[in-house]
Amino acid sequence: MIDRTLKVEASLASLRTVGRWVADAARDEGVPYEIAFGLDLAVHEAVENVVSHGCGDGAAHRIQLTIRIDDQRVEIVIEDDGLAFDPLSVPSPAAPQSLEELIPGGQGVHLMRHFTDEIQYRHENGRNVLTLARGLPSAKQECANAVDPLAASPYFEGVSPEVFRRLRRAGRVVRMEPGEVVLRPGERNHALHFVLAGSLEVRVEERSGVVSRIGPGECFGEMSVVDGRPVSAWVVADGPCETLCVPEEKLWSELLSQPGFARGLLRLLSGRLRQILERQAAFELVRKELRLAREIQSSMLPLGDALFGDRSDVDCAAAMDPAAEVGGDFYDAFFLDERRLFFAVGDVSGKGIGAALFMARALTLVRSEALRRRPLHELLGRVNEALAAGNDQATFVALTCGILDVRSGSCRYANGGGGGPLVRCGGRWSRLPMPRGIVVGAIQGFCFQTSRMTLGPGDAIVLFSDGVTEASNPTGELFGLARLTSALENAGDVAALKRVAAIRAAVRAFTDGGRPADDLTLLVIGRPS
Amino acid sequence: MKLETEKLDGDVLKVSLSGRMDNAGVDAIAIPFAALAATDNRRVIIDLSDVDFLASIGVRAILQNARAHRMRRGAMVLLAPRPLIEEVLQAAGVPNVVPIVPDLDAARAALAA
Repeated sequence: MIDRTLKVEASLASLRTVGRWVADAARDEGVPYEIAFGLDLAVHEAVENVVSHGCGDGAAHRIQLTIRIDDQRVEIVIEDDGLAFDPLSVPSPAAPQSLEELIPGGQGVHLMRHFTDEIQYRHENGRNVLTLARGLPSAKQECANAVDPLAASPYFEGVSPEVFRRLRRAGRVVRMEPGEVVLRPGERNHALHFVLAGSLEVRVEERSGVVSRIGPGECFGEMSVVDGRPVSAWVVADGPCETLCVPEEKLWSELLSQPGFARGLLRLLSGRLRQILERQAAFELVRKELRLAREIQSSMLPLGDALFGDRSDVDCAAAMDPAAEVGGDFYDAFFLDERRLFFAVGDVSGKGIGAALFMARALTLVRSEALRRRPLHELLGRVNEALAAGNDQATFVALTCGILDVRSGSCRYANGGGGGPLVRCGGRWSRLPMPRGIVVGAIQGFCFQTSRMTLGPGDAIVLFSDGVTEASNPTGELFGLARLTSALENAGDVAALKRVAAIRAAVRAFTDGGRPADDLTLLVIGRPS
Repeated sequence: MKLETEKLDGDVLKVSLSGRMDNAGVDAIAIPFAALAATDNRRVIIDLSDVDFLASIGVRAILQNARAHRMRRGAMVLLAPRPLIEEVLQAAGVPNVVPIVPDLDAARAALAA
């Protein structure tokens, strides 16, 4: 409910001032746009009439305008002290029938009548008084049409219409095009934004990572308004939309004291908090499942650091430090019979659950083929065929495997794209030359080969995954084969478990506490001297 | 208010008006708008899609302009007014004498007729 008055000089230059005044009053009271437009037009025509007909006597005249808006109607009274002139006495011109016969003009009063419900003119106390009125859609109708999405919002249930009118008055309506950014991370935000129409997305990135959607009756920007800290996410218009932008000072000074408003806002905030907690719970569940997957994965590998501690004819140790929650690396070592030790180190491309599942499959296949006593090239061939069939993810495993006769030291080995292990022969470490090979699971029909060498007493073989040689330090340098070799040389003539520890320590020192980028897997097999 | 012109294929001139077509707005474009009818523009499309207010003085300017074009054996159409602007044009009887069209294709068709 408002009652405002404006006094202007009777001149055409005042028309814009009058127009803005009418539009402001209409907007402040939430008058529908089409009604506001019609009133703006009718007043424009009326004032123009006063200026050109009533005030043509050369004297300075003034016009006084009064606007009253209540729930039912808008009434605008225009008074002037010019010559008596009744605009309603001007007959409406006939609608133009042809351009040739057209006498343009005289449409003003006709348009005034068209866009108002009532026009009255009277001349009293030497003044022209023109009253324009237009009815407003009733409050009930408004509710039925859900004109105010804020009033319809469950957060503000029971809040009186007067509070919404104040809210409307405190803010300004902002229209946005699809894709328009309203808030960006790091910026300061000093307003609470209520969505009136359309919807907006809260995103992690400007164009992706949608976290949530904000629709009519909801608001955003409340966190940065409450704690005064920079905005934390992108808020982007999802389509054409309209918001009511309420400056923070109005929120604190006027709105929070309104009955029910603070409670509505708190409901909205706790609703959002609840949503986040639910998401957090779901996230924890996924983490728990990942931990479980990690445990299952570890349980598939031979247990412990030192392997076959009960045997004196072999010295064997292993380690696997996964980078992601679940890794794609594996190692394996088991006796095929009394003297033949099968060993393998694999590195599945990719990380996470997908890599872990592929790893489980690869490991199972390698084991079952190895237990069937197949020659190594045939073993790799079969595992390759099995993994490559229907492998749409193009995941593969880089695999090195071998069989060591722990009594004779005779060792056969094959290359599944894993790169050559390091061997210690006669006190010197060198890279083992590898036979023809390729990563397993990538190309069907590939023919692998088997090579052989002899591991003398006191010699050892070190199998490692990319995570060792490709561990990087903070400046981006890679650990590399040379550092791996010197770590082994520096460790000297020690047991397999100590060699594993020396390599891990060297890698850890090199990466300087940085998070490993890839799984780190080691398998050391030595022949006691 | 602003007035921009663009030559389209087939010797058609598109005149885009934008802003508030009230007393001051019509004043601001009066000279270039009148000049359109004085030069050799036989076929003119007045694009009203960005006009957000139209008073009787604007209606008068449009009708006078249309008449000037007709006198020179030219033609004019009004393109894509917003709903309330169209309501003003309807109330003033403008469609009786100047076609109102929703898009450029309809504009070309109306100008060719």
